[in-house]
Amino acid sequence: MKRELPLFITAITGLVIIFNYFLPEVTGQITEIIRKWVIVISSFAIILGILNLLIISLRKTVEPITHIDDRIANIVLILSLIITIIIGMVYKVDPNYTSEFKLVLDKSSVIPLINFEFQKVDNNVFTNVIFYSIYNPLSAAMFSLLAFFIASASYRAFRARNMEATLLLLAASIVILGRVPIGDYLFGLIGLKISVVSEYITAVINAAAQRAILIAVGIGTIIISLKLLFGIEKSHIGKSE
Amino acid sequence: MIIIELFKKITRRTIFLTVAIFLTIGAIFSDVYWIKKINLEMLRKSITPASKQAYDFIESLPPNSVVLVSGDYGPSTRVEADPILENFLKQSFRKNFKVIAISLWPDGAQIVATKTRQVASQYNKQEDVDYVIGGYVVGAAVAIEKMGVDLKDAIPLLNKSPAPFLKNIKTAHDLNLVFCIAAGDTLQYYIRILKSRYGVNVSGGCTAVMAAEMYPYILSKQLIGLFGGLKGAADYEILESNPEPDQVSEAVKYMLTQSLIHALIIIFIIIANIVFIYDRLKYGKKR
Repeated sequence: MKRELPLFITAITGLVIIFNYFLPEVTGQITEIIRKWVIVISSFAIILGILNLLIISLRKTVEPITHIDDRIANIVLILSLIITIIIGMVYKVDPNYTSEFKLVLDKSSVIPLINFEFQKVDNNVFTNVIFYSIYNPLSAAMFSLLAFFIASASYRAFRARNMEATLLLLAASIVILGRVPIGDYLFGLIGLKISVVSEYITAVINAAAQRAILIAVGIGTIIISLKLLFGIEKSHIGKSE
Repeated sequence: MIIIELFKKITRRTIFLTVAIFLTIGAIFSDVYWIKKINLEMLRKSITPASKQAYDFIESLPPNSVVLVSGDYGPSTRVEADPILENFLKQSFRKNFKVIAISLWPDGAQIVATKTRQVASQYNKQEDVDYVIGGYVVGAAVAIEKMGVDLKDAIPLLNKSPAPFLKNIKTAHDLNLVFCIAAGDTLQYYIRILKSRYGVNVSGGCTAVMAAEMYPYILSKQLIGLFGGLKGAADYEILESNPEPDQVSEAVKYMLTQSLIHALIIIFIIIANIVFIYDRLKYGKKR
């Protein structure tokens, strides 16, 4: 019963949602209830996630085998979580203000000099300090590391080992250059507009491959959904005891 | 041969350092007049057809159209997504559209609200009259599905707004356009649910890495054009503002940095292949 009930709920819910697509008048109300439940359950999942994160981090902090670096990282995580929640609740989100560093160049000099300038300062601790001054730059910095890794990865991966690799290399190089003005500028010297070639690769060759992938994924999703509805696929309810 | 031996000494650290130097050069010189002028001239000649298609469609909408803008991105992708959102808002307010601004990402809500208020103030538009901030909408695909049935139920903050234009809006079908700027799957949700099932016009923008995935939807006309990555943002800025070199904002300026890094990657690829071919000729395939 412990396994049958979740499977039964999955099957019924799935069937109702499918029927709603074809017969919205008949199953409209029940589908609406299910949608509301999904949103409520998602909200509770956030609480569950926070509690889970807190328990794991606290355990790692107090366990004697944890390395000192990991311990510090976990303490920082717990403190950040608690401080953000408290400040967020006290000061609330105020989207009227922004504050950020703006790079302003001195155009009067021959070699432009940099000077930093605060654009605007506000008094809301949550929006100013937590969101724009801490979360915003940290998040952007993490994502910008991609530039370094992509440069390093392309140096090591894009080698003309065989015909397929050479084709991939050529297509990637054309698209990389075709998406920026310098590509058109350089190839313009020999009368070639590389952005047009890049657009052809993206809009024709890439689109054909993407369409095939999308159709395959769609068919795969239908198969998995049917397996879930008929109770063949049981991984979502965990391992049997 | 000395050059080949030098190339072989290139390590990951060398690459990281070179990228850092190029990024710094790009950041410093992106505001230089003649560089902006060259950038602008090159970009004007190479507007992506998908960007033009999206812009023309938005331009063809009548005044007082109601549009929903969904800024589903966080601070990590602001460089690419912010200029798209900004130019969409500029175009919308210039055309006197009524705007509903939401985000399906919790951290995107703050960004979307701030940007909408900033652009609206430039066009003397009033909150809860010309535009409404819908905040964070929880539920992603489920919320989009609900928009097709009852928009105000899906976006609860709309119930609190006294905006007159909301009186005639019951479902997403009443919207003239849904414009989604995505750093995740949400643009595909809007296409698959609102466009395919409810026939709502969907257009949008996305990060450069996602743009390739969206082309099948553009070709099947399920997605009306696309502003892909920083290039798309620069296209939008040129189409909307047609700026002079001293008037360009971030999207066009940052194309210099992107140009330099793209050129650097190509140089590294060429170096790697010179070393590879040299080694293959010298030592054979086994090495």
